[in-house]
Amino acid sequence: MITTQEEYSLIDRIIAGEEALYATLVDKYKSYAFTIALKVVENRAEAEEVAQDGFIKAFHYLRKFNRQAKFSTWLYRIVFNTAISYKRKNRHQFQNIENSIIEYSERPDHDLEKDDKRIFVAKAMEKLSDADRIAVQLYYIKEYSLEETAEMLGQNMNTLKVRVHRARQRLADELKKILHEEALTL
Amino acid sequence: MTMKNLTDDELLRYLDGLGTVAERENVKDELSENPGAKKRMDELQAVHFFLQKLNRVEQPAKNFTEKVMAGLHVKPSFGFLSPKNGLLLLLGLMVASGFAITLVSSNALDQWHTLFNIGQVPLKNNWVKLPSSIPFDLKMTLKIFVMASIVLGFVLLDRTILRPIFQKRSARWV
Repeated sequence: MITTQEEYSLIDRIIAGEEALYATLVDKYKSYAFTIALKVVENRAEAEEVAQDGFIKAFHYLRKFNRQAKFSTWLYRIVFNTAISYKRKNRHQFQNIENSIIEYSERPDHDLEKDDKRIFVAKAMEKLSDADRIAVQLYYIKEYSLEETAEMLGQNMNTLKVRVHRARQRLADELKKILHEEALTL
Repeated sequence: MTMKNLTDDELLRYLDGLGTVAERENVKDELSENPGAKKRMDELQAVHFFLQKLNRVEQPAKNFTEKVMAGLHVKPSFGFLSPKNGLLLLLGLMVASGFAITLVSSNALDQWHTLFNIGQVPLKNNWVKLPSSIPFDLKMTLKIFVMASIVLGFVLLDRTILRPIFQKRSARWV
């Protein structure tokens, strides 16, 4: 685990020409960067591409990193913006619900009732706006504070709180509606 | 005990583990007394539970770092043009060039040439001697346009379509 000061000196050495050291930063931050990209573009292959692009952009802008925020927050903001512009450029008209279920169901779980509810939550997620969906998903990963997550997404903390709150209310309402419809079809 | 309607905000704060001990006790009591609040809590709790289960940090492919390092000095393609937009622009250029070639190959433009007389323009210039007139030929202008379009077309084809495809393909093999 490297400290912030060690990270800054690493960045100085990368800027000075020791580019191979950038791999250390990539290794440290790749998982969360990939997760952010995945939450936005909702496809693993595309998320890999987007996260890689984000890292490459960050490398080229490294001199502009002013060290007022943490490197991770600055990097994740670049990845998030890259993912958003990628999604705008390649907006899919039809999103396949099956894909998102497979995405969420990697963990072996044989409880049928739980699997059903998971499908219903995934279905309800589709009804949320992108901004609310991403906000609530990153909030629940609990890897970063609300303040840091807000900074990554380029929003203020109150907006993020409202989004998370609204998304959960909406999900609960949607879930109730879906379960009610399912019960009627039985 | 008087029943009060708990708001979603209060219930969500309770689920997040926020609030003072007294506030939390209050919500707990209310939930045991009020079936309506309990029902809403169950709905919100189901969402809370599944969001906790569904959202975790994901791992990219094992060669992720190698791919990033290999791509650090790959020249970027035209950032403002996606392959789709590049293809559309290329098609537009081809249509315009085709139209220009048709016009040039027909004899319709043979009359479209003239001389712009600039001898009368009051310009004092001691360094460069300007010609008294500049010829303008529409046919020649269109030929230049067609040539420029062909060059631009090749650049577009390379930067917005072919290069991104080959870069992606080579990155896949890293």
